[in-house]
Amino acid sequence: MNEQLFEELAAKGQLSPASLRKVKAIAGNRLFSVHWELKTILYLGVLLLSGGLGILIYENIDTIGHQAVLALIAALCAGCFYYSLRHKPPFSRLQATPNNAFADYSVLLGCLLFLTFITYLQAQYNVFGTCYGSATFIPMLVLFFCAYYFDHLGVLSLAITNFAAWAGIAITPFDVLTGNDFSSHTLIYTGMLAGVALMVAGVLSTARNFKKHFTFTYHNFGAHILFIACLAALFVLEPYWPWLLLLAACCAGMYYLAMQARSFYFLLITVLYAYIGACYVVVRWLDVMRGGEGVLYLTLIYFIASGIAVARLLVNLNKKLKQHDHLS
Amino acid sequence: MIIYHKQDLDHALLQEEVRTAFKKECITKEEYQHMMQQYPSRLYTPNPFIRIGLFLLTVLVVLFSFGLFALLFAAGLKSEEALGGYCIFFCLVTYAALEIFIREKQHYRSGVDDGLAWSAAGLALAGCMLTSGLAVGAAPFYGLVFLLGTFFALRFLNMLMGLAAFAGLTGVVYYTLVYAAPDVLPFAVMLLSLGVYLGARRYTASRYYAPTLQLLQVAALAMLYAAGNYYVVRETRGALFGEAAGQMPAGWLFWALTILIPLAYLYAGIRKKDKILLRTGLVLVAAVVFTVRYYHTVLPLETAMVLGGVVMMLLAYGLLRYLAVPKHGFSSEATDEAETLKGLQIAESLVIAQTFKEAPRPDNRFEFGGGTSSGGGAGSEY
Repeated sequence: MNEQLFEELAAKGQLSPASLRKVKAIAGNRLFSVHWELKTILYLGVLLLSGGLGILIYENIDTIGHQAVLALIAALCAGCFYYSLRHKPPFSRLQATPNNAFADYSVLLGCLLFLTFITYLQAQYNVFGTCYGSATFIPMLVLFFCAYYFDHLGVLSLAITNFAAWAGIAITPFDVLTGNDFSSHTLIYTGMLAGVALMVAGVLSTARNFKKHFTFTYHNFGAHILFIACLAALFVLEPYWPWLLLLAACCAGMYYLAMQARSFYFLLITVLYAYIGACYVVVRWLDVMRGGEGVLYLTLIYFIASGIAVARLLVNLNKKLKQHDHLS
Repeated sequence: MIIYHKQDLDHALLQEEVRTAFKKECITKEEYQHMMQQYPSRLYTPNPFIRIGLFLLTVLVVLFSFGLFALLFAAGLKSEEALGGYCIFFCLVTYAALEIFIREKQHYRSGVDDGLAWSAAGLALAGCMLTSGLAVGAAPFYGLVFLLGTFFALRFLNMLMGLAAFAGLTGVVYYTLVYAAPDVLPFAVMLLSLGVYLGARRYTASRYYAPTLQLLQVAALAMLYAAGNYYVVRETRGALFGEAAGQMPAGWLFWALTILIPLAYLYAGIRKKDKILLRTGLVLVAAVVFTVRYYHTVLPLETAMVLGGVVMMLLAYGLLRYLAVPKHGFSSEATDEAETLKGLQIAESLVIAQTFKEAPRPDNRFEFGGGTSSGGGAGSEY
């Protein structure tokens, strides 16, 4: 905050002396925060350490050093959880007050090392058997438990990724389009189910007021996979119109949730996914490839007109959400 | 020069300050509402996400309009010159639309102004290339980029255009010197970057250009480092002259620059409490590690990773303990507002999900049945 500006405002009588004092108290705090710098270093440390140990264990498989590495991982993992437990605030249904940053990353490192350990046990000794998905199911349960117990958004994201992997889909931001083969019907249905499950989990978190701040993460993963699966169904499966209806229903539901949560982000993605679906149906109906020049003109005009219309829609929705916003 | 009314911009800045003060519970709701009415701004600035959507839609509309009119004039657009002329004509149309949108509706960082500005600049560039045979790999092209970027950055307060202008300027220096005086080139680019950095820093308190100048500082610091980086210099020379490793003159100097510049940034960042220097320095330490490891295998990869990870965690742990009570004006507490903090935490969780998705992939023994059959790359080896 610009102290000088507020002093001018106070001089003009726009600001009470009490408020000016409060502004000065905060603006005068000249402490330089290195919070995010330290967290980034911690994050990179965890990334390197867990990755390095993971490689080390496979490099040394069937040698004497192997057991040592394994023991080291187990010991480190236990140490991480011990440290986190000692520095953990008591469990609460709400967002826990932020504990120290190191304990946060200690939980993360502990979970990652645990995954490496489990993977190794399963591979070498087949501990969990070969029945359907148990090798991904058990780590998933552990991750979800840790996410709730230690109140950790990062571990929750890992758990959701693992849940999707267990169901057989890639859900991480940069792989959701490239890592999945959407011509497979099973995958489309799986994606829809996983998306609905995550959306329900998010809605329940809010409705039951149980770890409400997890809602965004559930909805973020859930909405994208659900919309992408709907679009894939629209593009791949015949006849397409039931999937168009499903997409419309999903968009309506998402719109409602976005308005409730006053989330510009969900509003934007809902509008964009709906627009992609609409464009696909219109282009398919116009059938440009066989229609000749007249249809080509029509398609171009459609895109210009619809682009402007959706832009106006966004402007209106922005206004609508802002009115809901009690700040302004 | 600036297309917006000064009063609107001033009031928008004031409103932002007042909003921050209100969110930090420094001022009362009555004061907040009163000042919002007292200092109205006509500028239209939607939420950042809506801005992204409007940007995409604007570019879409411009592209399809371009296509539609190209189709109408298809008969006359047979030659390259005619096509170039059409690009320039359309650039003028887009630019006029931009001016009208801002004059009539005061769009300011709304996505529409960004979309129209980038379309107009891109069309101008394409038009000039088609009509005058301007080649990408030559100084005049970058001169044009510099001019366009500067114009849009100055008139429309566009941050990224400022970056484009800097890139254009660097391109001009690069292509002027690369064959004429390759030995001077790194130092010329370093000098240019230093000049841009110092200039941007000097005027960073300027009212309307502050964000642009901050971004320029980061870019200039990064470019200053890249120009003196051993890998960059050596690979550039290798690609241009087919030089082998031993032939590079003053290799030691570039090694020294590679390692010392980030340390200098960090030192200056801590001394001056300058976030930009500190953060750029931290990122560039990673560049040092990658450069050294590219030429010298100090340790096997996994050992280096484990050791590096341990060192970083211990360093962070030590600093967190040290700063548990603020010292020397540094603190380890987050000072962001609640909303920003929430956003950052969510971003952090997404980064974690993205980077830790794949455990090291071993051989076939680790392939499991069930549930993994279709999930290529879905971390299916657990």
